Amino acid sequence: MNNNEIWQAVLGEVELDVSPASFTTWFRNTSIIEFENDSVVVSVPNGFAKEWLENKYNQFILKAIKNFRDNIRKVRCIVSAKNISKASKVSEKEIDSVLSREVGLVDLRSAEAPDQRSEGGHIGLNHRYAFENFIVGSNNELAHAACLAVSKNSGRVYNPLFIYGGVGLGKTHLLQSVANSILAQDPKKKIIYSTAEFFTNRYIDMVKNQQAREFKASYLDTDLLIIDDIQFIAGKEKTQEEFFHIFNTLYQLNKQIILSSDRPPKAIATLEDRLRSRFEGGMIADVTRPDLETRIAILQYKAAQKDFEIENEVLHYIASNIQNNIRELEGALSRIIVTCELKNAEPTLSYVKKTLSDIIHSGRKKGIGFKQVIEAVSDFYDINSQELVNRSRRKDIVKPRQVAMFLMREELRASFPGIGEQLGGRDHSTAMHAYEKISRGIEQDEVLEQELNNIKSKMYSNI
Amino acid sequence: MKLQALSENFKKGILIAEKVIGKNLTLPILSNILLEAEKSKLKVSATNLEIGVVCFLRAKIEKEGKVAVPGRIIGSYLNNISEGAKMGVETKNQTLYLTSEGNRAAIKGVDAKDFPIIPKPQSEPLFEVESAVFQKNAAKVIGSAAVSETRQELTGVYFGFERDSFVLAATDSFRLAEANIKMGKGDTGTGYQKFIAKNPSIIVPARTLQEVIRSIGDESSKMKIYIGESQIFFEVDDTIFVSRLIDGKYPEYKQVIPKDFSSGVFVNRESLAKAVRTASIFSDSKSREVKLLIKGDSNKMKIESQSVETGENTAEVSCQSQAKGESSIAFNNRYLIDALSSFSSETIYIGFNDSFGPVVFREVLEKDKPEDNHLHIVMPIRS
Repeated sequence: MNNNEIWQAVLGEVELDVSPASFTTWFRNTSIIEFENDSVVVSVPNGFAKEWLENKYNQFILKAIKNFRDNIRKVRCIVSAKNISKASKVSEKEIDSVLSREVGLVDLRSAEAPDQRSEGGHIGLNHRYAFENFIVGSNNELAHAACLAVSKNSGRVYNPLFIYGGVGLGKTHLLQSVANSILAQDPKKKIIYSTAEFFTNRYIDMVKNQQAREFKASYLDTDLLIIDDIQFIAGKEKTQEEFFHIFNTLYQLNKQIILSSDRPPKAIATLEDRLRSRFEGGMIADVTRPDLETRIAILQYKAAQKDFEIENEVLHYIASNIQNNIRELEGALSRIIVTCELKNAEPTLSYVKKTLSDIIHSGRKKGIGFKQVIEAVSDFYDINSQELVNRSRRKDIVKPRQVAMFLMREELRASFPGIGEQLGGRDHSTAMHAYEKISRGIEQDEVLEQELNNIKSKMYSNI
Repeated sequence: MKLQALSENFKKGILIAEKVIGKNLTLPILSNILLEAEKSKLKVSATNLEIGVVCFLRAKIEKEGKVAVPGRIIGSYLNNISEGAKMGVETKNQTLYLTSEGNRAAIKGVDAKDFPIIPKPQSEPLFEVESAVFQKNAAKVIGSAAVSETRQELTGVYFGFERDSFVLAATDSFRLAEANIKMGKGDTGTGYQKFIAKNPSIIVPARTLQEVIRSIGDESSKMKIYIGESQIFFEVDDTIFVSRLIDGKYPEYKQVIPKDFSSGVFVNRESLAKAVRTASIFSDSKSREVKLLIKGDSNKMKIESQSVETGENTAEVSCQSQAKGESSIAFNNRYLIDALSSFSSETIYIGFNDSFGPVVFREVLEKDKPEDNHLHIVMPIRS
C-alpha cells in the first residue's frame, strides 16, 4: 500500500468522525509526504490546517493510521503551497513569459484607462492562445504556416487569409495566435478581433442609434481585422454590404484581414458573390481533423502542461476514441485529471475507460436503432416507411433509401450486410454504394448536408 | 469566564478582530470571535483562514474560560455604545454578558471547541521596523495593488529585501507605487541575511496589510515581522496578524521605471491636487480624463478637462518647469489624485519623456532635489 492509498483510507475513516464542513475545510489538498520514525508527515495547504491537524484532529488521524502502521505516535504537518495548485509549476513558466511581455513594460505602456480599454478592439483576445502551444500536424500545417507568415509580415503576404475547418480544430487558436504575436511585437498595433455574430449585433445596435458611420469608422482604424466564424454573416444582406466596404478599404490600405469559417467560401450559402470572390482572392487554408499521432501529441502536451503524469498507452486509448474534436479531447483529459485528483487515483487504462465510458459511448448511439432511422427518414421525406423497404426504384424513393442507409452506417455503425437486410433484404454492395454516394454528395451539395442535419436532429430529439 | 477590562481596550481588540472575519458558509464558526480569558490577559482571536489575528488585552481576570460569539453582533454593539470606564465581561451557559455604565447586553455564543487554532510564530522575528514608518510607507503603496483577482500576484504588495532596507511595491498594471524603508542596525534578526539570500522577495495580500496598518496607533511600539512556511506574521503591541503569502512571481516592475527624463516639473502638491479635483468634476464620465499641459518656457501649467455632458474646466497652477517643448499628458483623474494624495511633501516633482510613456511622481523635500525613497508612476491615457 503506498502513502497515497493509506491517506485515502485514513480520510475515509476520519470523514465518519467529523462534520462534512470541517472535513472539507481541513482535509482538502492534504497528502502524506512520508513516514519518519514514529511520526507521519502530512502536507497541508496552509498554516491553519497545520495547527488543526497537529493539535485537534491528530487523534483521529493516529487512530485511523494505526491499522496500517502501528508505530506511528505523532502527526507532523508541512505547509506546502504546491498542494494548492498542482499546475503552479508549469504555469509559473507561463506567467514568466507573459509577464516579461505583458506587465513588465508593455502592459503598462499599452494600458489606457481601464474603461477605455474594453471599448478598444482587444476584446476576446486570450493570451493563452499562442503559436508556441499550437500543435502542428499534417492536418493543419498549411494553415499554421500561413498564419505564421502573416504574423511576421502582416498585410503583405496573404491578404485576406481565410481559414476554414470544423468545430474544435483550432481555428480560433490560430487566429488569436496571430493577433497575440503581432501585439507582442508591437503593442501599439491596433487589432480588432471579433466574431461575425458580434460584428452583426454591433452593426444592428449602431444602426438603431443612427451611428452607422461611426460603426464603419471604428473598423477602419485598425491594422489587423480578424473575424471569426464569418459564415454567420451569410444571409444578412446589409451586414454583408457593410462588411464589403470595410473589407475593401482595409484591403486597399494593405491592412491584414483574417477570416475563419467552418466551410470554404464557395460552400457558404447566401454569401454575396462579390464577397465570395474576395474571400477566395487571398490565401485559403483548411484545418482538418487531426490524425491519431497529432491527437496523441496534443494530449501529451496538455498533460505536461497540467503537470499530470499519464501513460502513453492511456493517451493512445483516449486519442483513438475521440476523433472529431480537439475540444472534446481536452475535455476528456481534464475530466480524467479532475477525477483522479478528487479520488487520488492513478490514471490507469481501466480507470480511464471507466471514467470516459459515458463520453465515448454517449449521445450518438443511445436509444437509436434501425427503426428510428427509418421513421425519421420517411417522416422527413414524407413517404411511407414501408416504401423504403419495398422494391420500388422510383427516384423520390431511392434517395431517401440511400440516406437511410447512410445514416445507419454513420450513426449506428451497422454493417453493410445488416443494413441491406433491414431495408428489404438488399445486397450489401447496394448499401455500400449508397453510403459512398451520400458521403460524396454531402461534400458537394450542401442542401443535402442540411437535409441530413435536419433528419439527425429529428432523430435525436425524439429519444 | 469572568473579567473586567477598560472598555477602550476591550473595544479596540474586538474591532481589530472583527475586521478580518469573512463570510464562510461552509464553516460557520469562522464568523465568530473567540474570547479566551487566560491568567492575566484576555485573548481575542478571529480568522477567515486567510488572515488570522490574535490580540492580547490587559484585563483583570476573575475566572478563566472561553467562548465564541458572532463577530458582527459584538462589533456593532461595541461601536454603538458610548465608552464607559469599565466593561464587565462574563459568560454563563455560552452566553456572553457585557455590562458597562448602565448598558447591559447578553450575546448568544457558540461552543468554542471548533474554533480554528491560529498559528503562532515559531522562531525569532526576522526583522523589526518602526510601526509608524511602516504604516506611512505601506499606506503609500497599498492603493495601487490590483483589486481584480485575475492576476493573483498583483493583488498583493511586493516586499523586496535588501541587506539593510526593504522595498514595498504595488501595481495594478496601470499605475505603480514604490516605497523604500531603511532598517537600523539592530532591526534585522539573526536569520535575516540567510533568509533573504534564499527568498529575496515575498508577496503579501494587500488586504492583510490593510488590516495591519489599520491596527497601528500613534503610540504603537516597533513592529516585529516573522516569516514562516508560506505565511507571514506581523506583531505590533499585543496584536499578532498571520496571513498566507501569495504564491507567484511578481512582475519585474523595475524595468518600467524610466531612468532619465527629458522633462521635469516642480509643482506645489496641494494646488495641483486641488486643480485636478476641480477638473475631475468636468472629466468625461467614461474615460475620466484630465489633461496636464506643460510648457518648457512657462512657469504655469494648465489642467484641463471637458466632457460632452457636463462642460469644461481649465485651471492654471504655477510651477517650475524644465520641460522640453510643450506636452499634453492625459490621465485618469482617479489615478492622478491617488498619486498626489499618497505624498505628504509640499512640493512634488513630475518627470516624463513624452505624452505616452510612464510619468513618475516623486516627493521633493529639499529644493530641486526629488527624493528617492518613494515614487508613484501613472500611465497616461493614449488618445
